[in-house]
Amino acid sequence: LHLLSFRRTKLHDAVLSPAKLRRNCPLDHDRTAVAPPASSSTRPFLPSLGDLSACLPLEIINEILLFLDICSLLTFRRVNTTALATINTLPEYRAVITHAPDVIRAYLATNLSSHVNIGELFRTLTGKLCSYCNSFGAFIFLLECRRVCWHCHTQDPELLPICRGLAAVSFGVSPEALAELPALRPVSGAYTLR
Amino acid sequence: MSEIKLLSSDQATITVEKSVAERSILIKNMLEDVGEVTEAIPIPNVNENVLKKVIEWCEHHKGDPPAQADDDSDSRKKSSDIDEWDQKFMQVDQEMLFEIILAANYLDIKPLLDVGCKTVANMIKGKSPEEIRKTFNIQNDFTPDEEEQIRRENEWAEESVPRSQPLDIDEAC
Repeated sequence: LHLLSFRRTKLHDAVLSPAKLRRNCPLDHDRTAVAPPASSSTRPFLPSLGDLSACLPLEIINEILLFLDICSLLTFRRVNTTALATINTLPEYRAVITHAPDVIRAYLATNLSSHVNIGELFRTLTGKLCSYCNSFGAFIFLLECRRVCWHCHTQDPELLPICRGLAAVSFGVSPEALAELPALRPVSGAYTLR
Repeated sequence: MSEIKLLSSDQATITVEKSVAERSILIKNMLEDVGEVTEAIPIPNVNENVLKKVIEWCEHHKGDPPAQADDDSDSRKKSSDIDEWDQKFMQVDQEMLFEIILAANYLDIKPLLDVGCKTVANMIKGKSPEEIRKTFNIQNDFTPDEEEQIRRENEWAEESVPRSQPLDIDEAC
């Protein structure tokens, strides 16, 4: 497997640069959390979440939102101002976006945002151990949304991504199954630890 | 095998096996507190149709290993996969689905609540905001510009860096 997969021997080959992430993906959280969209003061009433809020209490709506992947969660924010506010006040989303917005950016950048749900991400970020060897895990392995330590990240053959074509040829993965698997979009530019 | 009776909000009496009814933590705790009961236990928040549906779920899942007290971590929310039987079970209209979720919440049947929430989450996943609004009858109060702005700020903009631009010093080191 080592021969087939990408080798990542240098640290900065495998870690996304936060500076680039920030430049290419501003995330509006700071702005919308402080002040709601400008025109909202002119709105006579706050719209509801339709059938959702008519039938279900907020705590259950929050439970539902925790099962959403990042991509759908960000889409749901665009439904209306109440949806935006509901997500912005979702404790797990708030925690992630406040303390680790770069993770969200990284998921958007690598096109993996539809493969991880916010509840899962929150739990990964609030843990601290590498999920493969139980030592301290300083990195997030985006493909599986788990914490990894540097050793497992670079040395464990199980964690090396391979390209789709190779996966199909060497493991006999069917095209349908292949489409279901998370695929990482490489991000151009410099990779650095900072 | 002992049986107990449940009385729904519309006064229908349903007889179930005790072990099935005890999938509900609410009922389980109640039975532990009061001991043997002969009369029907009132479930004032849940009507007959919904209660039957919930019991159907409990009967199918009565062999499941009991959830650990703080099984919050990995397995429970690990994936949004729903097993096949549950998927079929949840093929009901939206009103029924919400009623089942509320009943599961009230009766404290955590696995059923999760299945319900996942089902609703799956109704949202992969849809555009307009499709989500249609699904749940939600009114939009964003102007197209505002919606577009939120979209733009929350996606990856590959092209915003000119190709010719040399790497920033601080980024390269």
